[in-house]
Amino acid sequence: MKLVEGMSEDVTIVEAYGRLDSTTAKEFGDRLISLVQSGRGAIVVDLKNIDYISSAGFRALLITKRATTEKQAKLALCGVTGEVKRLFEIGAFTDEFLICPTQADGVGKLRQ
Amino acid sequence: MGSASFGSDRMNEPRARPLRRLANVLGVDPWLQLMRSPPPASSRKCGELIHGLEDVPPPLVVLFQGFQHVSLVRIQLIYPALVIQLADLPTAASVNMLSLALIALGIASILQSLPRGPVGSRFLCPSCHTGIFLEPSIAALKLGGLPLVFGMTIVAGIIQAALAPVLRRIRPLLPPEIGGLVVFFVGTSIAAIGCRYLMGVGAEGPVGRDYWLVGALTLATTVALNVWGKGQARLLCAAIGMGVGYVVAMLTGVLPGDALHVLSDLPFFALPHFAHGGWSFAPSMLVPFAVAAVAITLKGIGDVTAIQRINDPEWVRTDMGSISRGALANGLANMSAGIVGTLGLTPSTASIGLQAATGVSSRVIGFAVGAILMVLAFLPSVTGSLILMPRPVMGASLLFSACFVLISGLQTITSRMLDARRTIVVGLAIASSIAAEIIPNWASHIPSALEPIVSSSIVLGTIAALLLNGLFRLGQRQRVTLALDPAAPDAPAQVDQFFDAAGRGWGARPDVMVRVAFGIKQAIETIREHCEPQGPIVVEAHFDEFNLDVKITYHGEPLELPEQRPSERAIMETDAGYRQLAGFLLRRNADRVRTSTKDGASVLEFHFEH
Repeated sequence: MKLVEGMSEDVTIVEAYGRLDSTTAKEFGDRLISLVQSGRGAIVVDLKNIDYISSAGFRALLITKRATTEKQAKLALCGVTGEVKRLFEIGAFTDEFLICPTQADGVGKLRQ
Repeated sequence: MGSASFGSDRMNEPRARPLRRLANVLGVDPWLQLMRSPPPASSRKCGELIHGLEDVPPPLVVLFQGFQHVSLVRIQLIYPALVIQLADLPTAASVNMLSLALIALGIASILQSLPRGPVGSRFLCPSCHTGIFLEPSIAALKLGGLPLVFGMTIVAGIIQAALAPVLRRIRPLLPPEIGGLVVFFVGTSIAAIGCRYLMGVGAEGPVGRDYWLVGALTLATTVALNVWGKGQARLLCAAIGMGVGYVVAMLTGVLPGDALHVLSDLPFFALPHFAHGGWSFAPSMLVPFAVAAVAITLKGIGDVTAIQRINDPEWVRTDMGSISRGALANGLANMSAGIVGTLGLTPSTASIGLQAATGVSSRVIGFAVGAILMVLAFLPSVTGSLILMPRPVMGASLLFSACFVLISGLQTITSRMLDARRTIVVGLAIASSIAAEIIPNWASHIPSALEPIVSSSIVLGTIAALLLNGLFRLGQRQRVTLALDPAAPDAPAQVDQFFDAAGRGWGARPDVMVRVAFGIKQAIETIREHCEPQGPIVVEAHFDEFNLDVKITYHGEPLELPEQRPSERAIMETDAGYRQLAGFLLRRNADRVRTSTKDGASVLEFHFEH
């Protein structure tokens, strides 16, 4: 698992690479929550380079969403395509998150 | 009519999309939805179909749809027309043969639509002539004239009828990549004939600027309408292109003016007569026609499967009963084609596309198509013009058709995962086919009895593929096992490698293997985290083309596979909720799941339709 962070104006972008399973979900979730707790008000998580997400990954995303809500911050996901999109669908998670096609769409949505 | 149909479309939007995609894949423009009529008040319809299989649409709709299908089917009369031209028959006899071809087509359409009994796919499934029989028919014509063409067409029909009841059992010997290969070989064969005709190779008359102009304009018109055209113009691009070719041929003299007088002499109405030269048979033609019979059977599996999907929005797997009955009907249709005196037939893929596009799949229309075709058989002036089709027009039309046949074959070949064995089967078969096509006398030292095999690109390529596939099936395991150490950090990678290798060996569908790999990785992860496994986790997978079953056996707590997803709160805050989410994903990922215990071990079974 590799995380690449960047900024687009006042929106934090986190690109995740690799597998999001029980061995990597904690590192992934901890990093996102630390960003939220450090005061980042808007975060876009790009999943286009994730090739596998398990229940552990969904749990980490749910915990991150709760943390952003508690901090009155905003979270968007993008790059949810192919197999990852299918897993979001079978897990009934597509309505649980703000999902945008691209990073730019996510940034635009969070800056509204 | 148009506004009502669009209203209906919006209501059924979620289900309409897959059929539109299918219509696009089959090359029929969704514009045809404009031709839908309002849905009847009470009928059993499937998905967004306006007139489903069992519906009886209003007579005008039946008639209009019937003519739509007939217009598509008639385009393929180019194949018998080509062979009839090569036979150099008098015009009256040639036109009579086209009339007989229409009768055979009518019989085929009715056989496929029969609602009960052992014969027929029971769908609206009009038939048409096919390039699959072109090469063997030309070879038979050269060897023994039209009687041999007709006799061997009967033999091909008998072979297909014999294959029909055992299709399910012999399916492993005819995997999809071989079906794709046969289609690809047919495409190359049609393209080769098309190029020869287009360039004037072997033409009797003068070949020069005018000849090539006719071919170029025919091809350009057809391609332009297909790429940039809309609606009917796109759907009937081949027929319109042929029409343009005829006009240019007449203007340039490629089609001599006196040839047209022959047409004006044809009566408007005439009884077709069945007196052709009889039938003959030759052992040397058996293999080429047997290969053609196998090829149309493989194509028929794809065609009838497509119709099943149109008629059943909940379609998950191929109904082999319908496919076998459809193959039997096609076999009988080919026997009747040979008896009346025409080339072999196959279900019309364009007609299937028309059903997907219009949402009209009523079986009654199949009978209407049969009746219209038979009526046209009594009107020689309507079909007579096909006999005069100039060679460059024919070449352009064949070349255009070949594009789609070639790509369809390639797509089928690459639709499955291919390991080294399957790659070699495909590669060597293509190489053999190309050798037969481009290297003259390449097999001059082979006994003359084998000449019909080695001189035909379709036959040689198909035989090579079948033999190599049979050879490589030796030692190919359909059941594979993996023992995993639950503590191994690379367990997910091991699962990926295991199923990638197994999928390639089986020639499985990549999308199904992705689902399988996810399910097993998620299961291993969950067992490791929540079930305290003792000893190895054993994964067994079994594949048989239609089913992929995976069994995971381990010593530890059984997994729970709930039908409802736990709440977000439960997932985040409790181990039970987190574990149940994994079980929920596993249940939704597979087509069927089951947990049990056996000899103190927990067993988790997944079933995937393939």
